[in-house]
Parts: sequence; C-alpha cells; structure tokens
Amino acid sequence: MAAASRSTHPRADAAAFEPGSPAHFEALVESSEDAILSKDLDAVITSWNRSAERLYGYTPHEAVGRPISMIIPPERADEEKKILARVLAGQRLEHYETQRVRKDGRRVFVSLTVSPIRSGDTIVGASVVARDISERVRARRRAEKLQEVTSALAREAEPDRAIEVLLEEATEALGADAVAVGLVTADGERIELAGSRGYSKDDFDAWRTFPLAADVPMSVAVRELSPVWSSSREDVMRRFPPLREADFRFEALAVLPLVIEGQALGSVSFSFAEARPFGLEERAFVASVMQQAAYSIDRVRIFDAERRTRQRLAFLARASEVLVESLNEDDILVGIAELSVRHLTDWCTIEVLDDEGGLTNAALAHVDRSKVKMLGEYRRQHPPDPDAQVGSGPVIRSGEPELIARVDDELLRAAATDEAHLATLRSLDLVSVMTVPLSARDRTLGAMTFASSDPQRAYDTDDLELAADLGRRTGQALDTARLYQREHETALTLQRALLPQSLPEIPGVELAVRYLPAEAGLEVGGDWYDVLQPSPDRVDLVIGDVAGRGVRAAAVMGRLAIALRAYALQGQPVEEVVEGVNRLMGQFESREIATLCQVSIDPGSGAGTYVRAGHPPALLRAPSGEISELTGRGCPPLGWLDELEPRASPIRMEPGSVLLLYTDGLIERREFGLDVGIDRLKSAFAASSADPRVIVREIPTALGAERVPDDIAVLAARVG
Amino acid sequence: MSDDGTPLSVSSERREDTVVITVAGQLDLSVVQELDAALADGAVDGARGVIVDMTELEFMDSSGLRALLLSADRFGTAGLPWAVALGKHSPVRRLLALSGVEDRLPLFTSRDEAVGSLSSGG
Repeated sequence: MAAASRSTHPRADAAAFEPGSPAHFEALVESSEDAILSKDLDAVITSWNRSAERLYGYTPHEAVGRPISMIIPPERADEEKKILARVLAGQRLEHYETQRVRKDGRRVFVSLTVSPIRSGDTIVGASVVARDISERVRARRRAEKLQEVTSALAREAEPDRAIEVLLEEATEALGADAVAVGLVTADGERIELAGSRGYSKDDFDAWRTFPLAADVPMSVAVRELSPVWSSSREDVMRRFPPLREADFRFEALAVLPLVIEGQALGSVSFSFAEARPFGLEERAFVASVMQQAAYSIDRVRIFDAERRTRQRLAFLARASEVLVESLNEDDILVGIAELSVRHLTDWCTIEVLDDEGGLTNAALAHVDRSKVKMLGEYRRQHPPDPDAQVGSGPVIRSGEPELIARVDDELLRAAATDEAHLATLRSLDLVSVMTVPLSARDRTLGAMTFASSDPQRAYDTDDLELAADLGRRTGQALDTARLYQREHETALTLQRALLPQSLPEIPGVELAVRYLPAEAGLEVGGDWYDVLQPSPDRVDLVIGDVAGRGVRAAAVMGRLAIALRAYALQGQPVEEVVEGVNRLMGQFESREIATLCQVSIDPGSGAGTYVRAGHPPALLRAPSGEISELTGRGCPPLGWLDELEPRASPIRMEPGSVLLLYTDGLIERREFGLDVGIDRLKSAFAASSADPRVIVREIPTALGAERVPDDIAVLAARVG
Repeated sequence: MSDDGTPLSVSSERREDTVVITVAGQLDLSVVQELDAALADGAVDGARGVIVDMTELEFMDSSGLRALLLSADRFGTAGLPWAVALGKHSPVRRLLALSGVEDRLPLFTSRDEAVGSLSSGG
C-alpha cells in the first residue's frame, strides 16, 4: 500500500482501471464519499483523498508528510496513542465517533474506521476511513435538546415559570445573545413582554408592550403565523422600518410565533450579536422547540385559569363570610378591604357616597402595613374628586367598573392636580388599577379601588370581573347594614322618647338612673324605668322589661309605661296598678310578656309596699350596710295570665338606706347561674358609695355590664 | 350571641302520640326561634301530649321564658297536656323561680317523671 501516497495523482490510464489492479483501487479511494487517509507508525500522514480534503480543508499537498495530530483537537491528543496501540495489536477500530479540527479551526464530528496496513507480516501503518457525521450529531443533539425542553416545560405549572424555562432553553438552543417572549394581550390588541434575557432594562422597558398592528418582528410573526428569519442587520432594517428608529444593536434576528390551533399566543424573538445564516435543520429545530413551548404555555394557562377560578371562588366564599359577620357599615368595609389586600391586591380603598354627593373614604388597606399611614395621608390630601375623569367618581356616576391595566406616566400627569400631587402619585408605584361600583337595588353606594404595585401583576378582565362581583356583594351588604342601622336608630329614638328624659326632683329622695344600650348593631331592648310622684307622700320607683327586641318591644314598653303612669298617678295602690297594666295587655293584638318591679315609698316615713311581677329582686341596702333582697312573691310576669292577682309586700327604708332596681342584663351571665349573678351584684352594691349617682355609674362597670349583649337599666334611690 | 358556650340544639321526635322536644345548650334571643318553631301549633299538631326536656339546658334568658309561658298558654287553651323536665338544681329552674312561674308550670325533675305525668294524667 506504499503506492497509496501517489494515489493523489490519478492517472487517466484506462488500462489501470482493471478490476483488482492497484490503479482501480486507487480510483475507488479517490472517488469515495468518505474521507480516506493513511498514516505510518510515527503518526505521519502518508495519503489523503479528495473527500479528506473536503472534510478537513487541507489539500493533499498540505497534509501528506504532516503529523496526523494537526487535525486532532488538543483535548483528544491521547486518542491517537490509543488508536495506534490497537492498530499495532492488529485490531480494527470501527465506527469510532470523535471530533476533528478543520484547517479553518471549526470542529467536525466524524465516525472513524481504522485498519492496520501490513507489509507481509509487519504492520507498517494504518488506513483511516472518516465519515462526516456532524449533521447526524447535531440532529441527535437537537432531538435531545427538544426532549429536554419539552420535559423542562412539562414540569412547570405556573405561567411565569414556564416563560423562564422557555427563555433559558431557547437561549441555549439557538445560542442567541438575547431572547424575549411576548404574549398577545387578552383584548388581542397588543403584545406584552412576558420575559426576556440579554436585553438592557431600557430595551425591555421600551418594548414592554406594543401594538399587534405594529410592523415590528414580534407583531409580524404573530399576525402572519410564520417565523421571521433575518440573517443580517441590513435585512432587519430593510424589512422592519420601525427598528431603524429604535436602538437595535444586533446583527441577526429570528422571531417565531407560538401557535396553538391556528392561533398565535405570542412570539419569541432571538437576537444575535453577529450576522449568521439559519440552516434549514436549525429552522425546523427551533420551530419544534417553539411548538413545544406553545403547547406548554397553553397547558399552563389552562391550568392556571382553573387554579385562578378555584382561588376566586374561595376568595368570594371568604368575602361572603366577612360580609355577614357584621351589620356595622365600617366593620364590613374595613373587613373587605383587609381581605382584598391579603388575596387580590396591594392596596385597596373604599369610597362611599355621602348624602351631599361627596365621596368619603370608608376603608383603606395596604398589603404593607407600614404604608397604610402614607396612603391615608395621601387620601386625606387628595380626596377623590367626584367629577374626575377616572376613578371612583365616574365609576359611581356610570355604575360601570373601570380597568387601567397599565398605568403610565401620561395618565398620572392627567390625574394630578399639581406638581406635588404628581410626585406623590409617582411615588405610589401604581402598576395597574381597577375601580368597581358598590351597588345594591339599582343604586351605587360607593366604589372600591384596587391597585397593584407589582410590575408582574397587571389586572386583566378576569380580575375586573372578580372585583366587580365583590363590589356587588359588598354593596348589598352595605345596603343591608344601612337598613338595619336605620331600623336600629328608629327603635333607639322611639325608646329614648318613651323613657323619662329626666327624673323628678323629690325632696328627701336622691335619685340616679343609667341606661346602657346593648352594643351597637344589636336591636334595642324593651327595658324601661320610671319615677313618679302621685302625691307628696308617695314616690313610685318602677323598673320593667318587655321580653323581645327591636321596634316592637320598644313600642310595647312605651304603652306599658304610659298605662302604668296613668294608673299610678290616679293614686291606685301598686297591686292595683300592676293588675290594671296586666289587664290592658290582654287587649293587645299580640301576646307580650313583661316583668316589672314597682316600689311605692313614703319618703317621709320610709314605709311602703312593692310588687315584683316576675322581675329579679330589687336590693335594699340598710344604713348598716346590710343588703336584703326584695323577694316578695308578688305575681308572675305581666301578659301571661288574665288575672294576675298580685300581692303587695311591705318595705321599710330607714333614713340613709338605698334601693337598687335593675333589669336582668346586670346579673345574667352564661358563665354562672342567676344566684351567683345576684351575689356579685350584692357584693358590688355593698362595696359601693351611698351616692346613687356613683352607684349607677360604678356598679355596671364593676360587673362588666358594658360588654353584655343586652340593654340594662339601673335605678338607685336613697332616702333621708 | 352564643359565641361563648355550647350552642343551642333543639330536636323534636314523636313517641306514639307524644311529641318530645329536647332543648340543650344555651338558649337566648338569637336562637329562641328554634324553640318557638318546635313548640308551634303545626309542630305539635295531632299530638296528645308534649314533653319539653330541658334537663340538658345550660342557660336560658327571658326570651326562653317568654317562649315557655306563651306555650303554656296555648297548650292550656287547647287542652293539650304537657310537661317540662328540668333538673332540681338547673340554673333554668332558678330563673323560673325568680320569675314567679315555677309553681305554675308543669315542671318535673326528669324526663321519665314528665312522661309518667302525662300517662297518669291523660
């Protein structure tokens, strides 16, 4: 095979092409598609065919006589020794896949078959058949890469994460210097960047969002549902005039649409710092990656939409709970604002329409509690203007929700009343804002505003729908609370009107009374008190309680109080007064039950009588401090029996003694029985001052009566 | 307002001709309509006796008293025998005593006694 060194000079001698002749063999070598070369045991190249020249870039003249190491990558220097060792052992090496270096420095993947060359029994060198498998290797790598991208994307369940993976994998797959993913907005009008790699912040901000109609590559790819390949800067500038104005710093561009079922979700843009061609296989590969990405984004979006639906339902369920927890307007609005900043928004303000058509801030919450004060200060300095073009004013006027998906500086300038206001508005970091009406029974009671300060969190129509739903629910709860409040106020007014406005001045008797209404939001009770002086030698102290609550109980109480006055002022004894009132109750259109204690005293002598009609016993404190209960059997509660037949019991008040009348709220507690309640009252009474005014002030407080969900009336009288 | 105690439970069952209403937990204005409903005419329609078992009742306010008194009235008018079971030391019994109605209601210290009173009386 020594002749092989001459094989690079093919001869046109027809006779030499005899099958089996060396010349024929040489011709086969020369015309082979495979690169064929030989080398001696010193690893010096001894022959080099045309395909070898094509593969490695060296002419035979340049290659023959040079060491084979010139085409071996430095990191594979050891490889040659191992190959030679096998050749010396007489072994063939088949389909050995490795890399070689071309003359131009580029790497090429080859599959080598190396066989020993013998001269007689001696091995004198090796023949090497090399096949270019670069394309195969690239295809394999792409397939692997595609697999990798697909599985990486499949692992992601959140849109943001899927975009991150896409950016990561796409950058690597194409070796791009910068990549951006843009998605078509819900209204189909624009493209919004969902993420990018390799661009400056200025570039990103400048291209954060742009119209789908624009003649820029990402829009064109989406509109035409086909990729844009631009191998040079000149080509980019020629095809996309708007980029001439922009600071486009790249030399090549590839933009691919993300297509699902014939619709583009968006596009991915790859920018390259150097001009480069895009091979067919490469294009097909990137298109496959993009197809996988589109599937993945679509799947993640569906998944995300389902998850958001679940979250929305959970949020609305929680909101409904908050809305029924209270009948107090402020509690409701503050509760909803607080809930919103936990689940929906960075900050939330609620404005309600007042009677004059002005707007009052009713609630204000911020996810960052330290900013609540700042926000409050801002709202105080810049109260919402009912006549403004955006925000609560127009939303309340029109009853329609308003969405500002992206707040820009232009909008802030339009909204600001002066430079200082503009500066404050800018400092609020508004990214996205929505305002929804609080409506009930075809009226708008106010508006809720939600704002996001998170650049990643722009509200969309789904958010607006959720917010509008919350606004409707809140409006209804607000309406109910107001109706309830109005009824409560009516009952309270009625009750106040029916109770004595002041106590009479009675010589020899010190009087004090205190009425503790149940905590706000609860219905008024039917407790009442009265002090009468039918004659100079008779003072009547009355305490009573109509069972039930609300306007009805207050009205019944009023009728009973008036009837009792009428009977008592006629001078009838207490038992007859009680019997008379009871008989009157029999004439009522509905059955009512009331308890009563009426004590009638001659302030001069301290002697008197009383009737206890189902009422807790009044207490009498003697000058000695000893306390007794007025447990006279009297009669059952009023309104129950046709004939009560009340019995009066005697009472004697020494000068300096104090009588304490009260309603059951003072002694009734769930934690212990009535006896314990009465004992506690007795202890408090014993420890208290002799001054009725101090008694009625201190005793309810001492017994924690302010927190009792029931009205309480306390009447104290000191004789002598 | 029973946020600090056992909530009210009212159950009603018919045993032959007798309606047995069991009231347990805490009875106040906010839940009294449950007892009202159980005692209403429609609920005891066709019964020949009513037992109100309050042996497990921990607390009752004046609204519960009102429900009992009005029922006593109605049952009396209708000639329907009824009985209330209430432990001897029940806090509810104390309320009835203070209100002067303990002697005027058909009170018994156990459910068995209450049931027995109906069969012997009826």
